[in-house]
Amino acid sequence: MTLLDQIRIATPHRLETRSLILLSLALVLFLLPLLQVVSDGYNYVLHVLMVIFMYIAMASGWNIIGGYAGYTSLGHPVFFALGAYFSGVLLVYRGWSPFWTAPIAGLVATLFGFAFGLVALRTRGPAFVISTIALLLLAQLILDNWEWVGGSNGLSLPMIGWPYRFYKIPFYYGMLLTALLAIWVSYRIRHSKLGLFLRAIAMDETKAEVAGIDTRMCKVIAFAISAFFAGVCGALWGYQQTYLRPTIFLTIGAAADLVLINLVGGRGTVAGPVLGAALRVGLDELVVNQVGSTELNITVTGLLMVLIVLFFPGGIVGALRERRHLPRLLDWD
Amino acid sequence: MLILEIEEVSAGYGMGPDILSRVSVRFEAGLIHCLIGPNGAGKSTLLRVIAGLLRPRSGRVLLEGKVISGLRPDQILAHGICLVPQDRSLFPDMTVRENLLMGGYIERDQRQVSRRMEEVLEIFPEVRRHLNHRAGTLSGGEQQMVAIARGLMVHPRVMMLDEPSLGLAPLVVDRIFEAISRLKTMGITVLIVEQNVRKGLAYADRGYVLDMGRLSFEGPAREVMEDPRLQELYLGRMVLSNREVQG
Amino acid sequence: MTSGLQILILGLALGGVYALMAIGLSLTYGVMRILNLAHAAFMVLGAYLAYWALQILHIDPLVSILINGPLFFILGIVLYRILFVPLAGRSRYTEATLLLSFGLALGIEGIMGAMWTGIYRLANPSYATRSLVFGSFYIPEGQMYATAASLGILIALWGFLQKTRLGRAIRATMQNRTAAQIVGVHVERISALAFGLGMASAGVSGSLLSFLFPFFPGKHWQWISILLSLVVLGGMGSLIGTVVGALMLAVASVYVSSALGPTWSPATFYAALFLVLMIRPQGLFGKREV
Ligand SMILES: Nc1ncnc2c1ncn2[C@@H]1O[C@H](COP(=O)(O)OP(=O)(O)O)[C@@H](O)[C@H]1O
Ligand SMILES: [Mg+2]
Repeated sequence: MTLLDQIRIATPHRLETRSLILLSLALVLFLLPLLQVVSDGYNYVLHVLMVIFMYIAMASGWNIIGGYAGYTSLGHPVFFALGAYFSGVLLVYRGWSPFWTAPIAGLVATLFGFAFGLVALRTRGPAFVISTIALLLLAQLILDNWEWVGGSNGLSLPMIGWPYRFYKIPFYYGMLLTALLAIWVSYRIRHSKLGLFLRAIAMDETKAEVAGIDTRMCKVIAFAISAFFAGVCGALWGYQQTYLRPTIFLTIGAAADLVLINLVGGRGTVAGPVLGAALRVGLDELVVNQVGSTELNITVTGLLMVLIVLFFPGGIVGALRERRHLPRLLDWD
Repeated sequence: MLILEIEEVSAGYGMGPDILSRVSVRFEAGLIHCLIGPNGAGKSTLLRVIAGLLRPRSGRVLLEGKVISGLRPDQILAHGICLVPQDRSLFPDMTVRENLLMGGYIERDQRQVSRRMEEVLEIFPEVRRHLNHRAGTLSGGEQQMVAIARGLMVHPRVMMLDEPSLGLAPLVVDRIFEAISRLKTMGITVLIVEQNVRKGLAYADRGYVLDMGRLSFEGPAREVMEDPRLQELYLGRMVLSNREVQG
Repeated sequence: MTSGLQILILGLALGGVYALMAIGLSLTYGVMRILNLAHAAFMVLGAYLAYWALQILHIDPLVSILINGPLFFILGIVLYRILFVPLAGRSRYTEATLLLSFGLALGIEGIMGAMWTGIYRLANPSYATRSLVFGSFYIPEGQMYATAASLGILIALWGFLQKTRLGRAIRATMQNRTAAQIVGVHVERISALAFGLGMASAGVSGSLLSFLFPFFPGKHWQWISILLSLVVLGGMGSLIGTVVGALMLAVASVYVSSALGPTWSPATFYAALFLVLMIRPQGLFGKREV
């Protein structure tokens, strides 16, 4: 039995009542902003959900290269910043709304990811993660010193012209659509030939190569696709924040978030990043915003990462599946 | 006298299937034993189990009646069992001298190691002129010699050689086998795995045929050579290698 | 604009220190394929210890090398046993080690931030502000001591690896792990030793860092990417390569710094990294992985 056959057999393909439940959940999320239209007071809920959607989109995107192919990227904040600055600059200098430049920002990120991937993914192994750290720090350096986009002071963006009561709603929908698209793409890739090849690469790249897979191209394409979602999210998030600063996007901490979300949820699974994102934002709202953020937050992130790598390398989805306790509702692979 | 006993050993890699299934073999002290069998039969795996590089899933390995399976590779080496693996496993960026010194690694006393190196160089004088060359730059035959010499550094009682003739020209093969005979005269028990069946059995005292993870049959080398089952095994599965047809 | 020879002098002096900083990364990767992303975090931790040793106990940073070395060596062995040994035998081991050490780096960064806040520190021993002038050339005195200390330590390490039984075992394990097992090297013990040595080098580098470069907790990310860049240039797992890579990139960065301003000197390393990956991904002294 070849490596590919083994993976194929391990991949059941089903969609029934579970998809009904999930679709109705999506429907509820689509209708939720009506509450805010009918009576004010739900902006906070919309905001939190919007942040969750954003993390879902980015983490699901990250998972395509980081999970399926097993290549950890710490460079995704760069795509986020690229999207934010691309749309932000067009807004400031041209007055074009990020709501329609966001997809273009995503494509720019994709293109850049493709080009960078061609260089960074030539080899097997850890050179990739090293180059993504370098990319992040280089981008920091450039944005800090590039006065046209505001340098380290950043760039103020005009506010969206909507009344305060409704201004979260377009961002909410923007992020929701991006998140759904990300999940859909992630699912489709998982069940495509590309997904099969990527998982073969994660398992044993040498064998995958011997089996005739163009491993480099697969990795580069996966990386480029995964960059798209960070780019779109960046464009929307920047507009929502009304200012852009290198330090709010471009930190290793932001990269660590994406890694941790995937590790917690279960990297390499479709549901993992979704679950991880919801947990990450939920806990942040419940705990950190109550206790207040300290220098030790980052320590907690780090310790969690260590513990998960040591004891739950499969994350929640992986651990449940191993014990055969994974509810069908969460089994999206 | 028996020196090494393999009792009902099963072994495999990772979560994979058993590569060896309940193999039992006994080896006599002071003889040359030749293990033959088709590719993938599990010959190298058996040597790895004996050397402690792979834990058996069940069964035991005994050296002069004492159980040694389960010990670490360095402990088994200290009992006098050494392995010269299929790829020779030299340290390519070290000089031959350093490779020999590494051969004596388990001896802490550096003077003992130097003395032993002199002895080994007496036995294999052809290694001496390469002492300061990087091992990676030597020819296949020279590397094999160095690998055997390195194995001798620990005063082994049992020496296992995995396909020592692999990839070597026929003349060089003869030199290697001649060196292996020298091991026997030193009282070392030798286990060779050989694809070059005729040559291997010609130098050996006893032959063992391993097939699909089981011991298929064994006997005095000459008898094994003539055994019709051997012809069947090889002609049925694989064409005799060119080398063998020539040799 | 500084003269070419002056740039070379400063660059090589700096390169000697970078070589010491990076040698441990190279050693741990070479011996056991651990990519220790926390290496520079430990280095910055070492710098804090040296800084406080000077402030409170009036121990010169050059003397604190003698404290940091053994301290981080022991810490390394303990961490290796607790954190990395359980990962042994995992498929995709290197990936697991880099995630683990990434978490470790974040953890240390947070703790340093909580203990010592985010402000920049720089230890200030008497020689830190002086310069030695030779004719038309100069070299900062602190830099000279740091380079001398680095070279001394590197030579000692080289001697240990070349001339002693354990050192040879480390090199043997780097070259062929199975072969090392075959000749009776207890590779787990050697790995712990190598990890300890790697950490010790981070600790002593921290002592030098403390008076050479301003530091704060988050600074280690810049350091790790600089160090990894030069390790990749030299060829991952090649100790000679690391030293050569350090010298080359240090000279280049001093040049860039004098031509474009010090802001851009880290960019030298990143640009070199991307260039290496484009032209010769296995680095100068690396072997192409099969
Ligand atoms: N390191 C390994 N991991 C997994 N399988 C292995 C490994 N080494 C050998 N095998 C498998 O074990 C079987 C027997 O191999 P081996 O003992 O090398 O056979 P032989 O030496 O008789 O040719 C083969 O099917 C081979 O694929
Ligand atoms: Mg074999």
